[in-house]
Amino acid sequence: MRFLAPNALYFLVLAAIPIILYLLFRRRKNEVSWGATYVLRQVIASRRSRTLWKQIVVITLRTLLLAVLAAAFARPFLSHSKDAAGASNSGFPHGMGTLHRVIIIDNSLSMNARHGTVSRMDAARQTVSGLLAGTRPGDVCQMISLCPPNPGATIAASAVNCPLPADAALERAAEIATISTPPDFPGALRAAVEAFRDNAAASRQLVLITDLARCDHPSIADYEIFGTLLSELQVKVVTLGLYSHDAINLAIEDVTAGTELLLAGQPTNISVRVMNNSESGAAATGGTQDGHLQFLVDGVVQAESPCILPGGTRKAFVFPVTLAAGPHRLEARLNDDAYAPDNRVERFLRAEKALRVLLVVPDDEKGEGFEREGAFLQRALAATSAGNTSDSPAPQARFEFKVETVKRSSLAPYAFDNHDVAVFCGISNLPADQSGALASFVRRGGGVLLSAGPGIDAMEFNRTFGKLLPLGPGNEAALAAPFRADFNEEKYLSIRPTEIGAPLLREFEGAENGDLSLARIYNHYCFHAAAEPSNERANASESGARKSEILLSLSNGDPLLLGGTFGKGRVFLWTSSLGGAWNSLPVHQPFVPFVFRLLNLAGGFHAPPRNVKPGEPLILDASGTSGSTGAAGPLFVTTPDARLIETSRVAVGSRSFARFEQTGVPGNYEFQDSSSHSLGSFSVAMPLSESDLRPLENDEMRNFRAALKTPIVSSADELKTALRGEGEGDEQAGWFIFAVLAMLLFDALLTRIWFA
Amino acid sequence: MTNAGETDTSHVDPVTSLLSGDLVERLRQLEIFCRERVEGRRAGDNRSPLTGSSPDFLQHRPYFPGDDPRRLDWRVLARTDKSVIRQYEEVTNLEMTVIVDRSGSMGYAGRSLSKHEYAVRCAAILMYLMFQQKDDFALILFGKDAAERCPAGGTRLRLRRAFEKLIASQPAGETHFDACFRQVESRVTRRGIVVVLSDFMDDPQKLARTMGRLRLRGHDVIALQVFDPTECELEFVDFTRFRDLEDGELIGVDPLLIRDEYRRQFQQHTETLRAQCLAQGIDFAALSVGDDYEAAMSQYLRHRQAILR
Repeated sequence: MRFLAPNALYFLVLAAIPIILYLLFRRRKNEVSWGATYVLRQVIASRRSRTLWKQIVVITLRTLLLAVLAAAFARPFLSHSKDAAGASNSGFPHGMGTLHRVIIIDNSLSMNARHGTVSRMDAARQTVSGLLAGTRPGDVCQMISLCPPNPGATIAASAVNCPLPADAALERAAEIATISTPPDFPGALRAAVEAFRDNAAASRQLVLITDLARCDHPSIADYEIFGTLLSELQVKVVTLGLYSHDAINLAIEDVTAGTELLLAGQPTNISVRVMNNSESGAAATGGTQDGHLQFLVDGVVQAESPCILPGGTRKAFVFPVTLAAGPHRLEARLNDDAYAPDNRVERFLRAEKALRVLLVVPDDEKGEGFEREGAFLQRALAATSAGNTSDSPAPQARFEFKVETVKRSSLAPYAFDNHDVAVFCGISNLPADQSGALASFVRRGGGVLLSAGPGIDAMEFNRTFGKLLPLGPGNEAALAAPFRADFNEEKYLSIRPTEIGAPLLREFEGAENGDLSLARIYNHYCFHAAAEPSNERANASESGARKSEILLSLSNGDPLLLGGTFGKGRVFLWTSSLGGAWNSLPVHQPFVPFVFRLLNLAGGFHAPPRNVKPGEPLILDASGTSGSTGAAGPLFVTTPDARLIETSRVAVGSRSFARFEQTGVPGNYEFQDSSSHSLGSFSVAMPLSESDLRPLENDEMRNFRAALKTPIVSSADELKTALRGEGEGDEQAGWFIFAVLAMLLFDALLTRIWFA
Repeated sequence: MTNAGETDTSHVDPVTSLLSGDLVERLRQLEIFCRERVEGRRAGDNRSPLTGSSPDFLQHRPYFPGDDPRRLDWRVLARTDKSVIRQYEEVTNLEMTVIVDRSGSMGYAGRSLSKHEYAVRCAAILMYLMFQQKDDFALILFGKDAAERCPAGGTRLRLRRAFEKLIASQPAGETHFDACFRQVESRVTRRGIVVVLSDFMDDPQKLARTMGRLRLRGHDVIALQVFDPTECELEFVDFTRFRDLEDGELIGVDPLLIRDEYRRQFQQHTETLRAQCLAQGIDFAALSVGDDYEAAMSQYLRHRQAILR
C-alpha cells in the first residue's frame, strides 16, 4: 500500500480532534447544583466501567474515521502482483486504462559519456525500448528529443505506433542519436504539454531521460510553469537521471596557433588548452594521474606530456612546431576518460611560403634611418628572404614577405586585392574610393596594420580609418592627441609585455625571445575620453562586427597595440610610430620577429576558416580545383557520421566557392571531387559545454524536482517503481470513502443506542 | 433592620405569608384523621388507648380490691352477684408532629419552588388543619445538626411560632436520618401522627427501618417525599459537573451516557421507598414540586380520608 499524495497524510493529525474535543469537553466548567446526587452516585457506581468502555469505543471510532478520511485524501494505492493484468511485457507499469506516455530523451553530446562499459545514451536507449514496448492498443506514445535538429528550431513530438513489438522498440530506440545543437529543455517541455493537451487517456506519464548536466539547465525557474501545466493535466512526471558525480573528464578545449595561417619554416607555438570538468572535490583522486597528452602534426607524434589537473581547472600546454609549406593537421589526444569525444581534437591550418604585404607610405616621408617607417619596414621585412640559410630546418620552405611599397598618392583602389596585409605608416587620410576599397578588403578577410606616428593628423586619421579602428579601452574609436606635445628623450614609457591575448604573440610575454620592455616609448597617441558613441559605431557594436582587444600596453596603462575585427579581417593599431621616431623598439632584437608575427596574425584570415563551430558554414575556395570533372563538376562532402553529401560550386567573379552548411555534427568534414580526390579538410569543433559532465548541484537538483514536481530516479528499476504510482494497481480511495461512510453510520447508530 | 438576604419577618404575618385567605377557606373542607388510637393532652374527638370518663361504654372487668367502688356496676352485681367494674373509653385530642427535612439537598430548585419551600408550604397546611381541628401540632426541623423543635400545642400563638420557624429555616448541610429520628423518638412520647417531609435521598430500606421505629411506638407515620420533576429527568446534554448541595462535592459526568440509567434508578428509588414504607405500615406519598402544593395536599388528605372512613 502506497500513497500517491503523501502530503495529505499530514491531515492525520486531525484524527486527534475527537480526543482533544473529549478532553476539552471534560474541562468545560458547566456546573450545576444538584439535589439528587445520592441517585447520581448510585448510577455512576453501577455504570462507571460500562460507560468508560462505551466512550472509548465511540472516540476510537471517530478517531479512526478521521484517520481513514485523511488516508483517503492521500490517495492510497495498492499495487498488483507481477502477474496482474496491468503488468506489461517490458516490466514498466501500464495501469488499467489507456495510457499516454511521452518520453523526452536527452540527445545532447554529453549523453555519449560512459560509466563503465555503458554510455549514458546506451542506457537511455535501453530504457526507451522498454517504455515503447510496454504500450498496448489504444495507447498513445510520443518521443521528444531534447536537442532540436537545428539551433532555434521548434521541438515537436514524434508519435510511436502502439503497440510496438519488442524488436521494433529496440530499433526505434537505436535510431536516437546525439547531435551538437544545444538542448532546449523548455522547448521540449512545451512540446510535451501540447502533446498531452491533444490526447485524452486514462493516465498520463512524462518520462524525462537526461543526464541533468549543469550546463543544460541555465534557468530552472523557467520550468515551474511547465510543472504547473503538467500537474493541471494530471501528468505523472518521472525523471531518469543518468549521471555520476564521480565522472572524470579531461577535455581538450582547443588546439590553436591563434591563426589558421602560419609562415613556413617559422617556429610557432601551438597552444593546447585542457580543462578538467570533474567535480573539484574529486579531482585529487580523480584519476588524472593517468592523464597523458599527445600532440601530433600530420599524424606524427611531436610531443607528449603528463596531464594532471585538479577538478574545475584548466591549463594551456604549449608545443613549438616548425611547419613546412602546405596544409597541416594538428591533433591533440588525451587518454580515455568518461567522455571520449573531447579527448581528441583536430585542427587544420596551412603554412604559406610567402605573405603579400602592401606597404603604404606618405608621399613625403620625413626623417632619416629608423625614423622613416616605410623604408625601415621594407628593409626589415626583406630580411626574410635574405635569412634563408643552410642551417634552417627547411630552407627550401622558408617563408618570405613579398612587400610592395606604394606611396599614398600612387595607391590604386584595386591595389589591395593581391595582398594579404596592408600596412599604413604615418598615413593620415585616403581618398574616399581608396578608403572604401580598404574597408571592402578588410571585410573580405584582409589584414591592416595602422601606425600612428608623429606625422599624422589625428582628425584626418579618425575620419579615414575611424570605421576600421579597433575600439580603445573605453570603447573609443578615435585617436585624440599625442601623449606628449614635445619629444623629450629623458621622458619615456616602457612596454608591459604581460597577458598578451593573441596566442601568436604570446612568445613575447617573457624575456626568452627578447625583452620588449627594454624599449623606450617616448610618445604615443591617446584615445578620446569616453564619449557618446556615434551611430555608426553603435551599429557596428550592435552587429558584433568590432571585437577589440588590447594586445600590448604601456607602463602607464595606455594601449600600445590594439587588435580588432572588421568583417572577416583583422585591423591592428600601433599607437606609436613603427619606426624609431617615437620609440626605440626598432633597434631592439625582438622588433623584427614581433613585426613578423604581427603581420602573420593580420594576414591569417584572408582565406575562409577551416576550423569552425557547429552550425557555421564550411566554405571552400574551389578555384583551381576543377580537376578532371571541370569547373562545374559536383563536389561531395564526407561528414563525421560517414555520410556523403553532394554540394555545388558557386562562381564569384573569376573564382568559385563551395559552401556546405550541414555542420551540426562535430568532427572532420572533407570536400571531395567526383573522383574522391580530397580538396580540403575542415574541422567542426565539439561544443565545450557538453564536456562538462557535472550534474546539477544539490540546490539545483532540489529546484528541478520542485519545479517539475518529479522524482529523480537513477535506474530503470527505480523508474518502474516510480511510474507504478500511476500504473499497475488501483487507487483505494473509493473503498476508504466507503469505510468512512460506514463508520459514520455505525457511529450514529452507537450514539443513538447508547447516548440518545 | 436586617442584613441583606435574610428574611424580615417582623412586619409580615407568617400565617398569611404561607397561607392566603382563599387557601384557608378551601382548607376548611379538609380533615386529618389518625389511623391509630392517640394519646392527647386534652379531651378531644379521638379515641385513646386509655380508659376514661367518656360516655362511650368500653367493657366490664372484674373488681379488684382497691378499685373505686363508685365504678361498680350495681345492676350486674344485683343480677349475677359478680362484682365488675364499668370501664368507659377515653377520647382525647390528636397531636401531629411535622418533621421537615432542611438538609442541603432540599434546597434544590428546578423551574419553580425549591423542594424545601414546597415542604414548608405543605407543613404549613398540615399544621393549620390541626389548628383548625383544635388539635395539637408540633414542628421538628432536622438537618445535619440536632433537630430543632417547636413544642406541641394547638393555640394560634403556637401556630404563629411554628410558621415563623418554617419561614426562617434554610436548607443546608448533610442529612443524618438515623440520629435525628432517635432524637425525635425520645421527644415525641405521646402517640399521634408523625408526618415526615423530605426528599429521602438515602438508602430507602434504611430510611423505612428508621421511620418504622416510630410506627412501632404506635405513631401513625406519614412519609411525604418531595421531589423536583427536573431531578428525575437529568435533561442535560453537555458534560456537566454536579455539585452536591449537601457536602459540596463535584461529580463530573456526561449526562448522555447515564440518563436512561439515572431515570430508572430514580424511579426505582421512589418505588423501593414506597414499598418499604408500606411494609412498615407507613403511609407514603410522593409530592412533585411541579404540582400545586395545595392541590397535592388536598388530594392526599381526601384520599386518606376516604380510606379511613
